[in-house]
Amino acid sequence: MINKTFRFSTESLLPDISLILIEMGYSIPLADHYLSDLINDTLQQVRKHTRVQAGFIMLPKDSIKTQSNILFENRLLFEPGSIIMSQLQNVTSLAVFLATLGSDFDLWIKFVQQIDMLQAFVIDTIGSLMVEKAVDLLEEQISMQAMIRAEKCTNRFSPGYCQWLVDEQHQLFHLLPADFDWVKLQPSCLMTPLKSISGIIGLGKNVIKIPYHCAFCDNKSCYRRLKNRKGQ
Amino acid sequence: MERLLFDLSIAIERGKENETSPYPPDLKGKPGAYEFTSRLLEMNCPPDTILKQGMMPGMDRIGKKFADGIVFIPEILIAAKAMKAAMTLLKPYFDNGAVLRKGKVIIGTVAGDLHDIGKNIVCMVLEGAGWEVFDLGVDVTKEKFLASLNEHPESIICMSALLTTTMREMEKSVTTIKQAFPQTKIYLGGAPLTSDFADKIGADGYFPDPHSLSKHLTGNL
Repeated sequence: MINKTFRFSTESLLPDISLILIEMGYSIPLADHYLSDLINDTLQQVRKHTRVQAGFIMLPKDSIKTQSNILFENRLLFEPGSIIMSQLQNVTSLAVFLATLGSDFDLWIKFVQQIDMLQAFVIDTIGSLMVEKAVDLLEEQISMQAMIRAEKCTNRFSPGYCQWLVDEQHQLFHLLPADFDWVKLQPSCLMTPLKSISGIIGLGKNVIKIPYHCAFCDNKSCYRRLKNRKGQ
Repeated sequence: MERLLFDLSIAIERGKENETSPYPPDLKGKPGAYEFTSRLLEMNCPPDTILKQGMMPGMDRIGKKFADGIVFIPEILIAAKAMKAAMTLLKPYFDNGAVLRKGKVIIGTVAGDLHDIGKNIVCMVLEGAGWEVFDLGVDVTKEKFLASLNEHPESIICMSALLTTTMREMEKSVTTIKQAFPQTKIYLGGAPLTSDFADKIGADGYFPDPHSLSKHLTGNL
């Protein structure tokens, strides 16, 4: 079992202003947008409030079987539903990952919210982009490990999306490295720190990675679908 | 006076809080919602007129633009901030009954859920539309909703959830409230929700944005 933890630098995760504006809904971000100064000031402060931690566990080769659900050493591990299972064909191992910006980031948002809702929203948006970026970097690391094992990777999937019930976060958390025991799962399956993402990536010699798009899933209110539609 | 009321509505729509506020850049150094409201009060304009003919039209226009996808959350937030600045001057008139609120709204993010930006925007839009809002915050249990309803039984309830698991908590809260207060209207909001879901759990409606909720509440008066 491979167990890796990373401390990505805050700088490696910082989004540029245009990305932040797009995330906020603006389809054609202008260089001199009226929010640019506020965003720039906020970006300068991010490092003080961020403690990025990301890591994954890669289950042993051939320990996973996929049929209508995911079996680990012949015992039921996850039931992500037919949409995700259709993407996990030929998977023989799994990487289970988590990335978080840390608790200080949540406290920062909470504090600023009392004074300036607009800046709190800017911080929240930056945080969402940073934690996604952390998972992108984690995905690269998982791909490299898979290459060493002569395996390929699927897309990443998280409980709560593509009709995978969020309750399965509990099973997922049991598999996470001990370094992450400070990340808590609420009874509602909400993670704290709030700016955290957990999920799985399937691995296998004969895995075919299909580009991620919303045709997999018919959840009309999914934030990814709404975001894609806004970008059109 | 009419001109000033119109200027106030524009200041709120554009998010011009006061003379020193940096937003929007093209109105830098010009008077904002605070100054216009102050001048109107000095001219003995009735506070109710300031609310209904100055503040509410501004919030209404920006709310509609948001619902239509013309502006985004930042514009709503700065408009709400401008409205709040004007509202501080009207507060004494709300307290002494010179301005009557449209009614009471109890609002909260349901138990298990800590997301509150969307809920806070709804609070600000409803306050700007003349409602008295009791914000119970996040992670609100059904017991807390009930306790607040016992205190303000004539209120409307608004609930928010951003997680699929807390949608189940929402169902429990709606059922409990409807058992104790069958006449109380309960409205829902939050990204993963739909009108079908609201119908299914016995709520009185789902609204995808604060403007449509505000319009519905006012239309039902």
